[in-house]
Amino acid sequence: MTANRTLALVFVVASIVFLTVMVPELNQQQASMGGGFYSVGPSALPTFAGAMVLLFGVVMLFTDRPVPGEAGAFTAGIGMGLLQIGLFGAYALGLSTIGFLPASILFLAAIFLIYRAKNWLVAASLALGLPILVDALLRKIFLVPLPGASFF
Amino acid sequence: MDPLFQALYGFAEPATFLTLVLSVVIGLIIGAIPGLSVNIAVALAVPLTIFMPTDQAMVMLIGLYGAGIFGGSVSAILLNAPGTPASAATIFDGYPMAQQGLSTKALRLSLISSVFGAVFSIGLLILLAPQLASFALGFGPVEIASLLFFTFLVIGILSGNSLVKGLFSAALGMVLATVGSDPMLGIPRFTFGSTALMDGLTYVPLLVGLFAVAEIIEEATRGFSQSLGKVDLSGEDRAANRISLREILGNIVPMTRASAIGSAIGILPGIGATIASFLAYADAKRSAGSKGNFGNGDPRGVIASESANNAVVGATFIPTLALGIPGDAVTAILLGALVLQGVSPGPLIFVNSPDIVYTIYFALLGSTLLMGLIGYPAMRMLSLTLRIPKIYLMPCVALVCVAGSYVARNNVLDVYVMLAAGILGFIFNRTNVPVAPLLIAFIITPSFEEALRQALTRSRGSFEPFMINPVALTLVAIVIGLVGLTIWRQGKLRSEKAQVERMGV
Repeated sequence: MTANRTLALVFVVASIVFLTVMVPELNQQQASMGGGFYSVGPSALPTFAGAMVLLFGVVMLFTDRPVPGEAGAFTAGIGMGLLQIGLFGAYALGLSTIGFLPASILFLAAIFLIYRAKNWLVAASLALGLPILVDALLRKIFLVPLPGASFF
Repeated sequence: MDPLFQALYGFAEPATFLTLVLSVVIGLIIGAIPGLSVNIAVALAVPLTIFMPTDQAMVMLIGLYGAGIFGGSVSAILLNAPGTPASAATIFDGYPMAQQGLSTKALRLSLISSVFGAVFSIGLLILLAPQLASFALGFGPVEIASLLFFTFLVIGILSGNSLVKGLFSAALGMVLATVGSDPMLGIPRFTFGSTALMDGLTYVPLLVGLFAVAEIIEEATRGFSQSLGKVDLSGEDRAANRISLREILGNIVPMTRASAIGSAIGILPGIGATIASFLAYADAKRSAGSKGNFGNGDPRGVIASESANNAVVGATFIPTLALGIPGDAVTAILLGALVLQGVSPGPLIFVNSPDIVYTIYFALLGSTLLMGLIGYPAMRMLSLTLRIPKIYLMPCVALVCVAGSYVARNNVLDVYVMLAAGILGFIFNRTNVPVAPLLIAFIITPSFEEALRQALTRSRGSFEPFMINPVALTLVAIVIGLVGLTIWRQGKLRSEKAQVERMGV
């Protein structure tokens, strides 16, 4: 199965769940809140949009043809891509647990280590300097505190 | 105070003017770096604009937009790799010119034609937008809903190579926009009990994810390049790279033709600068006939491509300002930024906030002139940006993405939304599903839903007002025509491809 068909299949299944489980719950909520005055309720647009995703997903599923020479293009280097996604996920978790500065320093250091940055002086300067600079810029100029303790 | 003078006063303030200069410089640099597109530059700047006054915010985003599109031609000419997709057609003649030792000349021609194209389309914007807006001021909910649904279909049909994929992307954008409180009853939709989702999915993390994070993941799959671009302009013959006024005047006709094509494409939603530059290139090649040396370093190739892609910049603002319909992904981002500033885009902006309209005009003109003034002497400096290895650049962009997504609402949930959008954008890029329709549909859906439900509540659920409305009927006819044209074009392409394959066998 091609990557396009897999994508279409995932969204076809997701839109069926959306239309049969999630959207009907909205109608129940509307009825319980006495929203019957409006002839078009809160589920109208989600129903329409979900049906469009389903329709075009089905068309993609049945009309997509494999392109010669593009087999394997979707999965090329996917391991490194997944690793980067994992690093982003860990960074987001770290943001709420250990704070912006430590999480950012660890995130940058991990990328430079995993993807083997050649110049360690540049890598170390960026890993330490950039998070401090961004934190200071946001807090001092835009008055927005990032999560966790700061050095200033 | 008169809105024109109010806008001029705001524009001339040191902080605003400095912001414009900085954004033009940053736009030139980011546009020049392959992999960092204009969309990424503007997306990363949006979180900062939340804390700025409206005029400063608009100046910043517009400065990045115009300069970023020109910046894309630097790597297209010097490295045979466009910094932004809009400069892809510049490669055909820009790179051969560089190989002949005429890089500086190609870059200068590219800059001059970019400025020409941008000024041409800004003139058109100033002339057409108020007329279109005054026509649209008479629109009621039926016309507004029809127009927004027309946009939804047009961006789906015209973006990318596949009609189905474009419409699929737009439909998904519409689904995502339904998350949050219902606009009329306040019933929570698909919030899963989270109070943070009651306001819906915030558009800042969504656009940062779709454009910037998707590109970072893509770069990660290639292991983040560590190599330096080997570009050196110092050895070039200065006399051969000089451009005379006569040469510029001799190219006024191709520049005007390309600017007209770019402006026409820019007015239509969802097509964008990439298609405009290819169309203008094809037109220049056709009109030159046997006299042309296209594909082997003909300066008119660079001129056509760059005039057209920059002419899109001003023209995309015509539907954006007059109708509240974004012409491309960047104007969709700008539209969202305006909403974040508490300004309602659409025809009423000319009545309620004319100073903002003038600020946008000034910002477009100012950024174009600054781009010319800063860009012309800075060609060599710009070429140095190609030496920055991705291994140091992309992780820094990733950090800015996370910080930017967080500060939009001071909520870590938005960082997860950004990551999810990044994964979706990455998958879309790899499967050739266009991302722009998703973002544009996400931005116009709340207005569409509001207008549709107002219209249907008035008619007690009947669609009859839509069936007899002249605006709605005209738009339906246009959509049917576009669908027919697209299906015919795709069928023709398929049969041509099959013919080539048969001949190859």
